[in-house]
Amino acid sequence: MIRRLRTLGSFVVRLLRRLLAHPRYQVMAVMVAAALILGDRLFPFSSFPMYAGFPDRTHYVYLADDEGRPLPMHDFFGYRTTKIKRIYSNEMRDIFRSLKDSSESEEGDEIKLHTMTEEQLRPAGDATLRWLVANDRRRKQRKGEPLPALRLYHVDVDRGPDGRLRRTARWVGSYAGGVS
Amino acid sequence: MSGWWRRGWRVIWEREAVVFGRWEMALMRLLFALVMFDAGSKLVGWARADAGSFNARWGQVEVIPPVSSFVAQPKPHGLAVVLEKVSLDLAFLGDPSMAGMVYVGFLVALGCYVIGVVLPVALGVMFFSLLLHGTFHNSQGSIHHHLQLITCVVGIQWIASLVAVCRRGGARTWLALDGSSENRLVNWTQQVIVAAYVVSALSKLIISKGGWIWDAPWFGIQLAKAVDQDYYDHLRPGTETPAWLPDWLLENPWQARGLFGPALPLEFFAFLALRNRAMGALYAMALIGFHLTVSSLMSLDFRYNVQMMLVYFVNGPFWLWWWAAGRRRRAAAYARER
Repeated sequence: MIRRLRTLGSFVVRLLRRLLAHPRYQVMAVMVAAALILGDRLFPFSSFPMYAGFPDRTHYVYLADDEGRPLPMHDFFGYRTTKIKRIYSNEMRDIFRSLKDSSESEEGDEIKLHTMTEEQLRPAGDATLRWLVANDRRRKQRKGEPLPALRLYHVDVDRGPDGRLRRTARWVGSYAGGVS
Repeated sequence: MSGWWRRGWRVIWEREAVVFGRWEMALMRLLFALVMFDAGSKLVGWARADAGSFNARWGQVEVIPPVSSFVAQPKPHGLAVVLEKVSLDLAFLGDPSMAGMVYVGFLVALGCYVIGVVLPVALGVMFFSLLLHGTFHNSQGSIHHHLQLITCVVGIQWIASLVAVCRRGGARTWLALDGSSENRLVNWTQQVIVAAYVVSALSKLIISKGGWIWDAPWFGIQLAKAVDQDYYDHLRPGTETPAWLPDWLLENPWQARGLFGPALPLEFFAFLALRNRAMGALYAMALIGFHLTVSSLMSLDFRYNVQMMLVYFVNGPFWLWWWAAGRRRRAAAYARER
């Protein structure tokens, strides 16, 4: 096994040497190495991790009025739902990390990202709505008209017991309305 | 027939140190500048009779907005973290007058780039404008991937122009690059574009622990998310994904692997596009087809990738010239025979 690994290792090293020695691929090799080392930490480098793994569940968010009726995100704030989902997910991960740290130190209970409750997710939802209101791209078109009360819903997408797709929506954020 | 096969194989497989003509490189500069204006998407919009948006957006550079919509940097990213330590905040880009100045500076530099003068300075201005703008954009709490490749391309072109100045020196090189230096600039650009695909394939292998193709059926869940997200943008269906497809992928894992699995080797072997012109054009067309399919299914934005592939790999004007030159040669040979 170790011999096989050594053979494979020396093959990879030889391949890399050949690649690096050839001017046709040198810049490419440096860029690949830099992107893999730096990941998404330093713009403009990126390891392009989108859809690099397929977990068995995912989530997204949508905007709604104070009765829970969906509102068109792009028409309303000028941002695509995908962007807002990323902002929300980052907030959610921050909360998850702090919850995990505190639960490990106090109770030792295991918390998972998808088992977070509505109450635990609420700060992430509220922060996302605050960001949307502060960076509203449709402010000019609104001509000073106050924003209505808004809600943010978190939708989990997974495979139900019948094997088909299942969507579960939860109310996770509120904005009381007012001047944008 | 076997002769044709052999000839075809040689055309796509033989290593070739590609030398671009001066006219080709000048055209590439012009077309790359048009990529910054997102000219391709604007033309498609115009062809689809969406004249309103075409007219409204025609004169606007898409990669650098004249007015930034962001007011602060709540989650500093990359360079913003370093600048914050020395009390520099990129939020100045949210100030319309500062954003306007950066925009005008970028436009002037782009003009110089198209003409091909003072490239080390013009590309430097373009690179730092894109770097600051992209960093500010990514400091909003979410990482975006639409500007990375275009910024890397401008960055490597800037480095290539500086290398030319270091190697050749002299005011003349500062003013305009010689043919071989500009050839290197285009070659490095191609390498950077290809690197993005190789990195993406390696990320897939690393994150999925080698099981990306095996896990492809779970793509159905991601597809359902993408379709729903697109719906909530305007409260109307936006993608061309049939409603049954996400469930079908989950229920038919082998078909799902067969359908989406080839994306991984296609990205991984993207470096083959550097072998020669013909291979580059064919490989780029395959990647463009892949991007267009993913875009229509998931409403993902690959407009800059597609346009850069067209400019630097498909390189239509060269093939037109090649075809016309071949016709001329054949006609001259025929005339001599007669």
